Amino acid sequence: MTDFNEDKLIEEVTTSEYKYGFTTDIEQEFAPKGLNEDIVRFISAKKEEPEFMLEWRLKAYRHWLTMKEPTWAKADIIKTDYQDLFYYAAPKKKPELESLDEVDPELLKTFDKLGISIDEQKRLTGVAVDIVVDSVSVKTTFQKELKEKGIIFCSMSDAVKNHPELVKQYIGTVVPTTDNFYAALNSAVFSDGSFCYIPKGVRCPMELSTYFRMNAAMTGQFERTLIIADEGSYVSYLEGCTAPMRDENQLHAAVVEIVAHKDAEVKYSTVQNWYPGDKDGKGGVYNFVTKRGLCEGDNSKISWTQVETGSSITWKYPSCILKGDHSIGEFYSVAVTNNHQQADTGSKMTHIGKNTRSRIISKGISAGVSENSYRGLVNITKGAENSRNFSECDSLLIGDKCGAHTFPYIEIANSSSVVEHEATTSKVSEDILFYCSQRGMDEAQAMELIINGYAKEVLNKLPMEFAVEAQKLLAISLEGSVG
Amino acid sequence: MSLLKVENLQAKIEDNQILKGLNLEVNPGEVHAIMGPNGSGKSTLASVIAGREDYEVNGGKVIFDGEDITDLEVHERAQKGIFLAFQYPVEIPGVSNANFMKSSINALRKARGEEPMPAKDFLQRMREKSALVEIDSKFMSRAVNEGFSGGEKKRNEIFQLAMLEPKLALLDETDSGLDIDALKIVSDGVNKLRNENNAFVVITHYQRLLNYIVPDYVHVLADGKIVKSGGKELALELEEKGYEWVKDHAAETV
Amino acid sequence: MAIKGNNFKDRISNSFDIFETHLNGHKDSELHKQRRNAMSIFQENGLPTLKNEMWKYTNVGFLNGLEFDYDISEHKHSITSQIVSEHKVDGLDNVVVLVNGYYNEDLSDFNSNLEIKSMKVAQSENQEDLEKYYNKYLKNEENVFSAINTALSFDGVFIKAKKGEVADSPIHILNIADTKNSNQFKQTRNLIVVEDTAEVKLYETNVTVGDNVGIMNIATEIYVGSNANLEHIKFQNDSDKGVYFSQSEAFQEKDSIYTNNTITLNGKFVRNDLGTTHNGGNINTNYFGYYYGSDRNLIDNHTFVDHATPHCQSNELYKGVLDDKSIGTFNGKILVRPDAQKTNAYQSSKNVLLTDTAKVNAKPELEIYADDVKCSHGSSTGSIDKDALFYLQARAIPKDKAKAMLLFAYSQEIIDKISIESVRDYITHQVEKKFGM
Repeated sequence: MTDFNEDKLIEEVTTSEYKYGFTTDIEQEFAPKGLNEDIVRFISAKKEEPEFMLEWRLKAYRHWLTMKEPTWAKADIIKTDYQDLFYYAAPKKKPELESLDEVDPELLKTFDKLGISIDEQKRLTGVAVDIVVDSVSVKTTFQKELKEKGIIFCSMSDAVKNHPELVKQYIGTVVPTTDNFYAALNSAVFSDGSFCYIPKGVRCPMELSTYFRMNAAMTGQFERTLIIADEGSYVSYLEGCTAPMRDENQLHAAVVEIVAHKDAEVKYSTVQNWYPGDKDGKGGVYNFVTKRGLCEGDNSKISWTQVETGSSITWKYPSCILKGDHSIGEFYSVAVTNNHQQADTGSKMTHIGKNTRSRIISKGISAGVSENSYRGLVNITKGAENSRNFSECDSLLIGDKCGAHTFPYIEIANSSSVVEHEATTSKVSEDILFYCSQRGMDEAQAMELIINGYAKEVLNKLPMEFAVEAQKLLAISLEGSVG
Repeated sequence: MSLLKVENLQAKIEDNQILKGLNLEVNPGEVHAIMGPNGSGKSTLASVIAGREDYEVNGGKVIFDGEDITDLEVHERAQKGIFLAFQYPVEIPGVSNANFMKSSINALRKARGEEPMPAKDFLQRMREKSALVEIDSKFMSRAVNEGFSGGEKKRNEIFQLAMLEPKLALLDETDSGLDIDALKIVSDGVNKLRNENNAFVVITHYQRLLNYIVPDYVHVLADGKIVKSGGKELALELEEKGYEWVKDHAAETV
Repeated sequence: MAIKGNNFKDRISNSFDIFETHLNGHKDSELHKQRRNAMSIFQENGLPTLKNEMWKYTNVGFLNGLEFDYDISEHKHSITSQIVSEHKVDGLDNVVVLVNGYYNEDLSDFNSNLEIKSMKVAQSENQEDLEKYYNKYLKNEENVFSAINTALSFDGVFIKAKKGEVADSPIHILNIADTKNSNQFKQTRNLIVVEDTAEVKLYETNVTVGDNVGIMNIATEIYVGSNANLEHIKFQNDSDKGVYFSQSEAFQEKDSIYTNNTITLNGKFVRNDLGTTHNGGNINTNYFGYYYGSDRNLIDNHTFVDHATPHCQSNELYKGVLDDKSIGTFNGKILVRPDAQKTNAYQSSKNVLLTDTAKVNAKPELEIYADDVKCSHGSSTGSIDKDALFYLQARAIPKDKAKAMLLFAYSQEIIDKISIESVRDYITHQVEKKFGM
């Protein structure tokens, strides 16, 4: 009588193809394949960096040589041959442009295909955009307006050139070059990224945004982002990521560092939809990212919000070090895995200051034959009097071939602190699907409604423009018939 | 032309044959009551008309508005104007009533080739219809049926019925678990929605509901078939004599 | 006999060599093959470090510095029936006594309808049972202490309830480490077989007698047959010298119930590994635990429920109180395998920290591969309920007394789960004593 059944739904859901899979023909300039000290020197020279930066990179590189790739995450990984990657790829037309009109039209087309026409965004939302294609920042809008407020928002390369004292003071202070394998690698070879400094008492008047996109084949993308919020300042920063379809696994090992001084607040939102590989698990991006924020001053606050739908493998643990008294760390996450995707993500909250607060809300959605893990650490150190943490990790399963896992680590050494952790696992029940379809919705519509309802608590934390895009992304990653 | 025509319908779940050749014809403007003992197949009938996949139709057909819908999917039937008020309304965590209704109405409109309903009109309609079943407007932002009392869930079903304006409404034991005040609210709501273009099939175990929603026809369902049909007075007779009486006299009407 | 070696691994290896030289013609026996396999697992892995996920919060490096004696024919000891009676529970007369890992006929005293004997005897008398159950459930590969136990244990207790047999009274297993003469590192290996529809209640305790360090490594394998019911209580309230490694691995058939209640009130170092594997529908597993750490105690509870089959339930509640400079660790893992649909698993761990020098580590894990399941876990850590404390003080109860009352009340939820009245009363009394009530 009807073929509306779960199996069919699962099948449909798991065969959703990557919508953003296309490559742009822009002339690219590559550094030779492989990695050695000369490549590090090449990158540094190409970017006309001061001596201290080269030394810093080389130190990181030498340390990296002594490290081993981590194996602890719950993921099957195809070993990356680090000598078989390009470490530098820049669009050849050196884009020193005055307006968006001068941007390579091919590139603009790319953004149009992504559905984020920057012109539109610029006009309608007043978002200042720093676009990173592969490794080089192409165009930064709204520079002047920001400049008037004393806000520095530019590519990392420009920051190294124009504000070396700030870079020197902060780079590597939150994520040391020796922190982990990928952070060390990133420190050695990072090619670009965004830099942001908000001076004392300034509230950044607009959302700052970076759109990352991996384009060239066989490149590893190593961006480095550094955000400094000086005393009493506020900034909301958005990061979006897409990568075209490639058969090879591309490596993405970014580092994001945030420093929030006294009374400062930083909101960092990510929508990540790197290419997840095809439905048989071929290709896709390895997303091994180190993101960490330091609540340096009293009453500072750092919030991470992420919607993760892409990448074939994601290892990512945006963290907060709550050093200042009364500082606050937050982590809101929706991670969707489908087909053969593997995500191992969560947050680390380290409470050092007194009366510090942290909150972790993680919503995992697994479909297909994917694996979705929450891994997180709440560490209340001895002196962190009256600290509080609340963590909620929910998993939603679609189909019976996927896995959902929760690995929370809780370490407490202070008796006046309260830590609570809750986790539940549930499935999209047939009853709910039947109810929705009896009200006239087809599978895709019903799914979108249910998923967005499930993830609402996190989506609500995103800035408006992003929330809409994120909802669409969730729908795209889980539905076959949307479009 | 009849609105709903059920012809020799046979349906089973797993190896259990529940409907064994059921016939029913409903015309626009009519209210039919289906009564019967527990396990006679009342809820199955509603589910099968709505298209629930758990049941396998292994004989007969369902014709709606002149079209054989036996092979259509649940949402396609809903889009054609069949509404099922659930016996056990489902809770949907995180999805607000407003959002749920918006998705539903727009799905129905899309199927008819219409544009989505403007937000202003939608809100206006929500306010109007929620008053009909005496639902507080605050409930619109609450998750669908989550944490609702039994009575609230049933009222929510009638609210949705009012919002979606179906051609055919199947009320599956909407009266069960309701106190008398809630029953009156629900019945009043249904009575206000009755008109010459729509029809209701009211499934109930108790005659009580039929004091408030007065049916044009009463059918008695036993062992997967309609064994007796009559006017509203049949319900009273049933109440008095019990279902055993019908079963004993089943042969009379066949 | 003194053992050679500069570290733990060398000493254990040396012990095994000495043992092998004493074997006359038994080197090819199946049992010895198992020993040798286990030994090679240990030699390959060595002692776990903090980098090992299962030992992340528990450092066993102290074993490297510990010198201990080795004598496989040891029956010399100083334990008297007087000492045994000091550790008996009023109303629980069946007591099986194990001294330094060896079953002690003279000190044991029971009258039971169950088959109870030393493992050594069972190896000749119950060959069929041993073939079926011995070394089948213990995870030698994953836990080197299980491997050491398999390689170097020579005795323990064997208990069997035949099909349909309901034990007429509970059995007390008393493990004694006699350290009067020297440090000890001893293995005990137990096998508990509860056949279909049988019912057994066990009460297991540990004591160290003497002033040297006594390390007991106790491994217990448990078979719970269809529709059988086993209640297993472990009460650990040893001296400040006691060091325990304890592994219990249960295997449950359909419709069976296994309930474990582990209560730790004292001990220098306590590591409990508790595991169960399901093999059939409608299985119930209950884990309850309470631990109180004081001084520099380290108490580490690792639990694991392997949901391998559908329609089963597990229910777990652990509560801890950490005082002084103690460390408490709870690592509970629920694994739901792909076929284990309709699993209902619940886990909760709660901790109270009394000082800023004490520490709690909690790691409640869910690993789920089936979609139609209800699984949840919760973990909370906080200080003693200050409002309640204030309330009691406002009713003229001195602070210390009020605190003791609250801590006592906190433990009761776990102790109340024990169905043996005499044991429940005994443990309740011990907790009262501990808190000076």
